[in-house]
Amino acid sequence: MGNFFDTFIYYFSYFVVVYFVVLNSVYMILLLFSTPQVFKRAQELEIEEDELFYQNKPFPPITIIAPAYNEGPIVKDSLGFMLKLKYPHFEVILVNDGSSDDTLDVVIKNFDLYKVPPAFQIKIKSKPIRAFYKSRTYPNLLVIDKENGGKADSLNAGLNASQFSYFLALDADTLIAEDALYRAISPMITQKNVIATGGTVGVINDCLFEDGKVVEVRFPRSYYAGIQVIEYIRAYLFGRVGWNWLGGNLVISGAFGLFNKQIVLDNGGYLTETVGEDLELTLKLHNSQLSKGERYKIVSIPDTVCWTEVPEDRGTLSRQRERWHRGLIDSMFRHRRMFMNPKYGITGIFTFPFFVFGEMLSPIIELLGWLSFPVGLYLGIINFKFFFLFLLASVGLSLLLTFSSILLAQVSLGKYHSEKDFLKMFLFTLLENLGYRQITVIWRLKGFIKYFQGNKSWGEMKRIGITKRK
Amino acid sequence: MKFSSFQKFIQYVPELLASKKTQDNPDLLQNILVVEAFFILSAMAGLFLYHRLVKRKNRKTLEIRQTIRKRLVYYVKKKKRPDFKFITDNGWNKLPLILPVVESLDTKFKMDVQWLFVMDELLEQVLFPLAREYAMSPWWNRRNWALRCLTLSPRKKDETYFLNFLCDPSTHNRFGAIRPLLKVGSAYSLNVIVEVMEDENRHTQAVFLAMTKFGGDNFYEAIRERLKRELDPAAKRVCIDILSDSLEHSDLFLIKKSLFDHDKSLRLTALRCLGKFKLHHSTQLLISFLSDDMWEVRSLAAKFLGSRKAYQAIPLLVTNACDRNWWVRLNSIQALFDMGDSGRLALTTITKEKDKYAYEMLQYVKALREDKGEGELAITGTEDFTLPEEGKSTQLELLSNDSDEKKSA
Repeated sequence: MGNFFDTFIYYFSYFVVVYFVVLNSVYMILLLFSTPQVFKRAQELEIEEDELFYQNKPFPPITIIAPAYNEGPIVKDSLGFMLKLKYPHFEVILVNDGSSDDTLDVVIKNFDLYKVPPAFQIKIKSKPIRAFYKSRTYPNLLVIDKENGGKADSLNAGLNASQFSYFLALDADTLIAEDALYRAISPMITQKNVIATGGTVGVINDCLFEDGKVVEVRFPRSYYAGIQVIEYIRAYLFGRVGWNWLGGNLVISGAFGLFNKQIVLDNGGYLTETVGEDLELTLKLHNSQLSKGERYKIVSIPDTVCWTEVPEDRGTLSRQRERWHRGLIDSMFRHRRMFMNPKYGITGIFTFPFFVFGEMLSPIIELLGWLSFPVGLYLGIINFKFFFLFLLASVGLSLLLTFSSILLAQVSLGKYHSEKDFLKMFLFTLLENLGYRQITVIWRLKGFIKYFQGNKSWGEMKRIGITKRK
Repeated sequence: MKFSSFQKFIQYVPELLASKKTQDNPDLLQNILVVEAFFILSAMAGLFLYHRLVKRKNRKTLEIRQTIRKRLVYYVKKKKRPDFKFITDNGWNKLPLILPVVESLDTKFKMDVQWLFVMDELLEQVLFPLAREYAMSPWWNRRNWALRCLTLSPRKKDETYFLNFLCDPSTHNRFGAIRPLLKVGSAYSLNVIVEVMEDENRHTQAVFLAMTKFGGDNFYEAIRERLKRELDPAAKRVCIDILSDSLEHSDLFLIKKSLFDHDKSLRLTALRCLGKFKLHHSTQLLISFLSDDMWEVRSLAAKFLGSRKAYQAIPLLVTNACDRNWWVRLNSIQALFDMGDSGRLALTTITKEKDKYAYEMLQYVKALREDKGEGELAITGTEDFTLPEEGKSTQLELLSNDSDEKKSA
């Protein structure tokens, strides 16, 4: 028995080392792939920032669908910012998902709403609609009041009412950049067969903003917010852009995603029985397009198109991460037929398995790794110096990847202007490896447990509210 | 210890794990650590260094641009013959340095004759030679600078460059090349525009179409000539799309053949173009299309007939209001609404008993129009629309397009 245990520990440690090497090699490849794309996008932005570029060009109209649940304190400002966006032709559909607070009253009062009869086809079923409202001051605003059915259900209700062939799924509590619609539609105009675009989400905590625009990007003071800035830079800049050259990303963030409406409708819209509706939809699009053998692209752009407030307390953050992981597991299970399936090309053979091993199973492997090494040391199976050096090498590689993405972000997009912020970034990157990463393993493992317990709740999310941060 | 391949490294891992003696310590990991530390420090230093360098470079660029600007303004205001030696002597002959200054001054002194003279001299002596050099660059953004420069004052002799830009892999450059080509391009180049448009997706094609509005008479003439002899449906479609923004009566005969083409997209494009003609003959043609086999054609014809208030089409539109297709029903009823009292009178013949689906569509259109602020739309013989009760969306279910294939029902 003891011999078997020793052998298990020995081979598991072997597996952990190989896993670590493969995982980080993929990250390196993603970083290499994203670098030219980020630079090219930065050059394109220079041209697109010129007002003349947009003149005389017929950009397709877009519907913004923003589901809102108990957003009473912020809905007035966030909706106001959405309606002020720079874009020739767009409509905003705010879906009140049966809020128990005064969200609807606030909107009715501040946007001069009046009831209208429904005048569109129902393409996807959603929870019963109570009423439709139009605004006297903003003709491009439609408010749907419906029974509570969750975010996915609200997006489906919004899809039914949408008039245009492209829609943007947006969280009502995110602050959208003034020219975000131009930026998001750009890949659809300039490239062929793009069916969805995801943008980079920035962290707004402690940034300075005025009248719906971020005027100065600042690094947050809070420990958890600071670490999330690092995570967001890494995840969006190379974690998502890099996949553009490898069959496309598997996630278009629910906070900001622009889709071809018809393709989403053809696939039945958003799935309501999951907490990771964004990931599920993106996977569904990959699945259906690849099964049909149709040419398509799902593109992630590196420019920041919206800003979100990240949780600053441990409880909210843990619930968020746990929910994200539940959504990931659920979507991976639902589309398991794509796993290592050559029919799905590079997505089935490489991207999907990477998400399974590198993302979904990573908390289990990491935890077992953290346990097996000390046990191996205790039993004398593993060399102490090797363990120590391996630990240093893994932290070093993680630092290297993060620093490279910070450097890439700064060189190409130049968001931060203070050297103090750079120092803070380096400090938080170090801190991320000492404790935070290990805690996230626990949170994600909780996600595993809750998923198998059948938990589908969103959990309470405590936030100050973007507009209250002024 | 050196490893030439990943495979060797994998083979080495068990050895690393098993080594118990201090002297067997893994050199490889130590080496990796040194390399990592080097790159980490380089990234850190690079970030700070880059930040400072960029700051310095931006300041310097601003200073240079201000100097160039001052000198150019001096030549304009004092009406002096310009001398651009200062640009080449200082090594400032780079498009990104000079072009933004010229563009901003061009907006400022647009109508000034002296400015036009100074700019012309600057373009000929400094900028155009540079632009022609940049146009051959493998980097798309350098080619974009060249395009921006050559577009400032397009010359016939640069037509080849514009043609190259029109076929550029970068969409931004392709967009930029249309306007100058429309200005200075020969019939050959104008035909190339049609060919490039054929390969574009519908969005980029829309952008190209919007840009072609800046084309002169010779451009439209070239397109008409092309349409006369063209056999390829895709090219014909592009030609008709372009022409639809500048129609002449004689164009009706050009597109007439395409209206009966076997290619569905071409037929629809031609029909959309036909909808823009306000001629009696075109109305007659549209009425004949109300009985077409293709539902798209019936639907579009109804739409155009409604907008031109073709009362003679009312009987056929009433028939099409009971069509099997959702869109045909929608557009036919919309068209009857557009026709005012006569159309609305005809709508009274549509009852629930006569045709459930046409009646349903009538309610839908009525609600749609009231929503658009057309006020209460009273139609004798039909029930008034009521809002769905709180918590129920049965009315909405009724409006679903599930009833599309009513024949099967």
